[in-house]
Amino acid sequence: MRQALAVLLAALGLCVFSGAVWPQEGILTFAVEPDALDVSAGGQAVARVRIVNTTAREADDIELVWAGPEGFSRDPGPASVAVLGAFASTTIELTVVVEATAPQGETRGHLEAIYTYCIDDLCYQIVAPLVLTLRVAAPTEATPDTTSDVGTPAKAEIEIPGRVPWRGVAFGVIGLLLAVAGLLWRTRHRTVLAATLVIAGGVALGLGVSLNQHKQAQAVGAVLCTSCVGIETVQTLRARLSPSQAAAVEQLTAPIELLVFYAPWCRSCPYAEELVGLVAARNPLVRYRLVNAEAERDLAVQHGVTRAGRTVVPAIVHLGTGTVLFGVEDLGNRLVSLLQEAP
Amino acid sequence: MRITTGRRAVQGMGVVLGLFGVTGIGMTHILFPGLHCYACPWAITVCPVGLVQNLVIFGTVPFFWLGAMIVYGVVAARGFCGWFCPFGTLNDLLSFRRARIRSSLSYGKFLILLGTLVGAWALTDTIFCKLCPAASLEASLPYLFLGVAKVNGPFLIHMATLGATLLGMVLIARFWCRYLCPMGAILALFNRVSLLHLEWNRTECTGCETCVDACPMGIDPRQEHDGHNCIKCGACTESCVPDSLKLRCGPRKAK
Repeated sequence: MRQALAVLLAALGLCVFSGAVWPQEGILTFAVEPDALDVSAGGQAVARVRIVNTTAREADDIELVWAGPEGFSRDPGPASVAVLGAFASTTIELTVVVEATAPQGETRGHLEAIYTYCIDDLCYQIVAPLVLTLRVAAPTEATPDTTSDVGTPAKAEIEIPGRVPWRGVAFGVIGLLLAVAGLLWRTRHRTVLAATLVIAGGVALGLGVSLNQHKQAQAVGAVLCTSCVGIETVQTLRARLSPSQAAAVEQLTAPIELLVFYAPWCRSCPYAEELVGLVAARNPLVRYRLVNAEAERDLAVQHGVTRAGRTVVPAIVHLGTGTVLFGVEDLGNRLVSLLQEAP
Repeated sequence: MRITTGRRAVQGMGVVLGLFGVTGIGMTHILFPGLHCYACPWAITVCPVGLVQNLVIFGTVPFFWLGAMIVYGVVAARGFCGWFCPFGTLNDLLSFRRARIRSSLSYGKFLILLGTLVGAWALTDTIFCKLCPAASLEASLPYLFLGVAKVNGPFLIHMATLGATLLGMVLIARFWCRYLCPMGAILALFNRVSLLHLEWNRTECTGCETCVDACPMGIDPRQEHDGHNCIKCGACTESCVPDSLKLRCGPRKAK
């Protein structure tokens, strides 16, 4: 009995501690290519920083800032990416300028990747330190290097000190709770244990509500992506128009306005957004606006994207005819047919 | 009032809550105490199994979910399977055969639950939802008629899992609830502490075993009423002539 209570309280304490005290974990991983830059003093070299969003959350305002040491700098200043969608990736080219007075030999350059992301109303700013090895040689008379030549670039996962293994914590808590369940199986004083569980459940509920997890639950149920619930398979390939589709788009003569409804965590939505972008690039008569279905629910209801109380994304609305396309299956052909509809 | 009559009324309320969106009410913050797909066009509640997969994918430590599960578990645990869950009700209505096969297979639901969580973590996808027969019935089919879904690969996979599950339900009473339901696995963890519970008075029992024949879950209610397979439906209490089995709601007596 005492053992069960002790384990239960330990699990509860760990829940509270990990949620309230532990810092929020980052959602991006960073890798630098190459992992070491050979550069002459007074010259410059280019590195590529590969950024991968490993979660269903959108990362905003990603900025790479040079943090030292002296004698080195970034050119032409902080590089940035405005938005990196769920499960998306991008590469930033980074030009490191080495002053003539910089110390020769191997130096560790420090960068800070600063970005934000939000879970419902709660937003977090994450600062992830990156380390770059610079091998500085004596100044040469030749034109300064613009690229580093160190053979085949090796991908290097950047070590992020202080990274919290949230999954480990979560599974640890689940393991502890299962251990408690195992102990419950044997004990005789079940009413006391039931009361203890009610307290634990109440605390967990309260903590969840304080973290806006109830709103997160509602959002999960209210906005559905077509691939999430098995209406179609997820589409993460790059969008492209076939020659016949491109020709059909170019032949459009009347202005058309589209609304593209998406959700930040929807894995198929970038495909629909990109395809509409390609269409608009082909024919300037086609204009479109991206609409976050979670943020603009009234608009979703107004245009029939919300049906029977449920919003389905991705969805493309033809404002002239009111027709709505859901999903991404065979979207190229369906989109061309939509554009050819007369208002 | 017979227990079965009361249970049918409560099951009806479960179906009504499951489809309450027909009134125009949108999605709420409530987690459904059973397996009911939140993608159902008329759902106003969130499916706990679907939600926990999303939380694993999002990287959220699921306090709200955990709290709700504990509360549901302490109140009735698998009693929700027997009395409230719409998919459990469908199992109930198709329970024609009280077949018994190896009881160890009923641990399969815990494996499904584990696979659901690991699948969400490893593949960052709601794998279970793509196979869930409740989603097939409550989301895929309605969306087909609403013009959102099409007859494609994922739809046919849904129909296959639904067909197999329905066949299983017809051949073995409460097939889904017994062997496969991950929601039942979550609630089963609390079966020994729930306020809704069965009591067996050993001294009054004549050993006639009519309760064993009556149990739709294929268990011996006298020995396993606190085990992970008892859904507290009360079928055994109705069949018990000497009234040695009783369905209670409240604090348990220390044994």
